[in-house]
Amino acid sequence: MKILAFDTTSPQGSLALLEDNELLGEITLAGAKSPSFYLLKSIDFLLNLFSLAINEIEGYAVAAGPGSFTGIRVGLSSVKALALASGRPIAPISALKALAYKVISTEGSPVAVMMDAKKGEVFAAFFEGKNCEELREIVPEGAYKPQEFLNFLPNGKKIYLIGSGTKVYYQKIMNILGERAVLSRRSLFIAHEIGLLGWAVLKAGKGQDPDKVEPLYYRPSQAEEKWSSMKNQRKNL
Amino acid sequence: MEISANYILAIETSCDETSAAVVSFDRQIRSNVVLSQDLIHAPFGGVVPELASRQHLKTILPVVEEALRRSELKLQDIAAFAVTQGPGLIGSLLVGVCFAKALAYYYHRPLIGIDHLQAHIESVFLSHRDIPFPSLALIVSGGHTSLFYLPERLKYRLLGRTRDDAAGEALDKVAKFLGLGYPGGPIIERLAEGGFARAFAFAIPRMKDNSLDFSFSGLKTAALKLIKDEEITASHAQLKDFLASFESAIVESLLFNLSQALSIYKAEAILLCGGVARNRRLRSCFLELGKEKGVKAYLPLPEYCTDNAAMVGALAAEIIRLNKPIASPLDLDAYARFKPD
Repeated sequence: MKILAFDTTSPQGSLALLEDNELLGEITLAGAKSPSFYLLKSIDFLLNLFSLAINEIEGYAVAAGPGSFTGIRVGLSSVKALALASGRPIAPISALKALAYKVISTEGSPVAVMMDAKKGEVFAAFFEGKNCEELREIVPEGAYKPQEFLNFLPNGKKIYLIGSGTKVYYQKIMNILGERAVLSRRSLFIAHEIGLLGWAVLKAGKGQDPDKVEPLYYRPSQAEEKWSSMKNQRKNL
Repeated sequence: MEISANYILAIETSCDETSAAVVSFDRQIRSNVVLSQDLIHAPFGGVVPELASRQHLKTILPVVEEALRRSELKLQDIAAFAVTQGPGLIGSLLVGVCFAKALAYYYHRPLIGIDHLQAHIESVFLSHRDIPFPSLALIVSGGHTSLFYLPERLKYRLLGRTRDDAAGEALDKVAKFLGLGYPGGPIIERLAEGGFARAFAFAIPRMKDNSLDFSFSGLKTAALKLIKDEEITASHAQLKDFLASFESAIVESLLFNLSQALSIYKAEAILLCGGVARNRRLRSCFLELGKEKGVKAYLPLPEYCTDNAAMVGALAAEIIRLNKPIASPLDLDAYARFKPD
């Protein structure tokens, strides 16, 4: 099965073309112009190198978030249209899971993923496992205060860490985990892992129709936050 | 029913309506689906960009499917795609732009990027075929207030635009301040009906530099000050008069610039479009101005005033008919403010 995988949820954008779980080609772009500009251009470039047309893609794997809200929507709006046109299934994959898998498949387990979510928070999760079928979410995916998340991590074990948040909150990590922290040396490009995790989903016949695919924002918009805090204040009066 | 073998699928997501339309190359509208987000933004008294973008992502696919279903066409029957590129809310625009790009790319069809303001002007041409040139077009909505000079078909020269709030935005903000609801324009129009428009005096803003730019923040501030000073509330006895006076001041200010432009530029016709062009006071004063100045005055049908994809598709059809250059779908991107050269 030819799978097109892409991730536009962070400044580290990437695309990958796979034949089942075999990587054929990959494009990685750090801090490129807006993903709406590079995504289709890169898809076209990658397909051309293999003399493939877009209608020969048999399944799509896409990073559904968390990350940049706009980036998430660029990826999902594009993949929904491609799936609507082709009738091919979509495997929406969590970017946190893909980052964890990147470490697990090469360096080791368990893995704490911390993505900088700005406003003093991280999108984070803690995973254990051996391969993509057996990736267990121990601390569930979500938006956390870094300190709160780090305190959820188990004692005594060596823990691998990956994600943009590990740079921003390096000192906090060291304070809490100390020598148990092992910072991953892998890059943050995840299209290959999105493709591999997507392949597992698609192979199992669990790919989704485009109208079922949901973004993983893990945070309400600022206006909604303000609104609910206003409502709570009123309740408290 | 078969009019033309060639159809355009047009998509519009520049602000808070998700819209898709199927328009034939000879400008027949086969379908025009508009899904409004008013109820989502109402609690906030204005459009919340992140909420609008999230909603577009939810609704883009069903809206496109519904437009196709109503047109009794399939995606593979579509000869060209069109999408609003800007100006507008960038997060909202991107949902439509990415969707349309991917469809055009998949089917190897042209994708025509459409300027939102030019699409609004096109809404007037939907119901009027023989508008003479040169003409002047005034676009008034919740997000835009701009005046264009049109020397010929598909040629647009910006004469003036708002330096602060859009006219519709000023109406929304005053309605929000009084707790009247959202969107403010239609609510104010309804509540102002029968009010005495000279009951409250508003100074109409004039640009010192003879520019044809607009400004509404001064009017808005004056209105908010009056509300405080006169203790006007939603249940005030003179609410009707106050709203009529404010609405009338906005109309007067809009048409003052149009009238100025008419004395500078030779024009055969004036056009009014955009969401606020539904306002009856503005419509009737606009038609009066046309009579007074001896120029023809044209308005779109009310259903094509607010954002819709039919006007996007119609403009794309005209661009195709006149053989204007069309860039590759791969190069197209959204823009928040002005079309990049």
